[in-house]
Amino acid sequence: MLKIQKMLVGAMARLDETMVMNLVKQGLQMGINPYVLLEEIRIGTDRVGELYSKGEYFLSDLIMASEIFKEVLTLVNRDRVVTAVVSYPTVIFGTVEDDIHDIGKNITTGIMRYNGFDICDLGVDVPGPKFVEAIEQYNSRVVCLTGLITEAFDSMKNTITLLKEAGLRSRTTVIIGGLVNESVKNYTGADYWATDCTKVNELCRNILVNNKRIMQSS
Amino acid sequence: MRTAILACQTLKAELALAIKETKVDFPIIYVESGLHKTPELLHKRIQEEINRIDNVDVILLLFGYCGNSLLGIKSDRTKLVLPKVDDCIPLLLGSCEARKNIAKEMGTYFLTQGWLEYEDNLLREYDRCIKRYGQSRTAKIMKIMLGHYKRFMLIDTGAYPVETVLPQTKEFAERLNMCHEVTPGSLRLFYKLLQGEWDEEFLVLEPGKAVAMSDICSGNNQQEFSQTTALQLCANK
Repeated sequence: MLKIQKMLVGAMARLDETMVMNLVKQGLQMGINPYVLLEEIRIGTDRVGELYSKGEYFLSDLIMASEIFKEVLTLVNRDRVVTAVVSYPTVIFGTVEDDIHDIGKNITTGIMRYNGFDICDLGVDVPGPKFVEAIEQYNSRVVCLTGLITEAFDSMKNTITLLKEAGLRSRTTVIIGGLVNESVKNYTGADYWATDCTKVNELCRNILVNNKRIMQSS
Repeated sequence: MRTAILACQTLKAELALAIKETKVDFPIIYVESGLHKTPELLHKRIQEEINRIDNVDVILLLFGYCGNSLLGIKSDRTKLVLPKVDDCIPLLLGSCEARKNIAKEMGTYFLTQGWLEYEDNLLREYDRCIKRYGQSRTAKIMKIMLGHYKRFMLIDTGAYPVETVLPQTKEFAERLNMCHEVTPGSLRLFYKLLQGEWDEEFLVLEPGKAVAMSDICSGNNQQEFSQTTALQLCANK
């Protein structure tokens, strides 16, 4: 691994925006594949997530990581024509009715877009029928329902009931995210639950590309 | 009946006022603030404290469900009583309905003195951001963080002089270009909990019974919901 790549991981983990941008510019000038640079950034963001879990970073730092990530993407895309290596079917996202929390959703959709997913983000406080409409419109196979407050659990459950009533449930995999766990999954009738963006990314890849369902683990 | 209270530290001033007014003399154990951000940690701390409490017949839990923090909480030898609220906001406003009505007006971020004093709160995060990332980046981060919130609302619970925190919260709102309002709170759920008026607004768990998902979620209006939305779907087609 080149020195610049190693430094990039560290700079991202430290959330040193100036250093990250300079290293990416240098890397591009040296002819390093932009995907290699982006992968180092991704490893750096994983470290940011670990530090957040340990209580050393805060929510604002997660947002900062996401902002740096976006800027790097813009820079890379400005200098070169970068297209996704793979293309996945559209994944529908939305914060369910009665809830407006969306930071985790926004970070997840950002990372997933970088990984080549087409995302339809319906926003926040999304009524159940809107999810049904979007699934029909995009012929989607995966829907991610997110929420942070307790009321969101009933909204998730109600949305899944609607999918059944619309005859879409059997062909649609439902992932719930936010403050969720196995109990919430069982209560709402979802297929999977996730509390971090990497897991959602992997779940979607497995479902849409490998066409397989995986065992839920914590 | 021998009673103990296990409460979130953020509610300390309000609980002190309610205890003074109801004249109960139950021992209180406080759980440190801020754990709700990691529900597993809050769950662990509450359960640890419950397991430690001995020689009482009932433990009053002054917490909301706080995500899933309360899910699975139980005591093998003591009755547990807790208000049926999502988090501490309905506790301070007096009901879930009151919070819902305010939130319907616009996205509202609630504050109290306890929140400012004990929690690793938004104002502290702002100061930390300024030091670390500077003014312009902080403004952007705060815009993302506050997302759909349009208003700060200071809850006047009667347990602290509002004027001591008002300048700080008002100035913060102005800096972030948010509306600022003060709303009267209500400690009626505190009083009911302390005075043993455990009606349908409270969850009463006998020894050995744990807080279940069905306790946390209302599951209300499922049939009504399905009928209404089915009609909406038909209309949309």
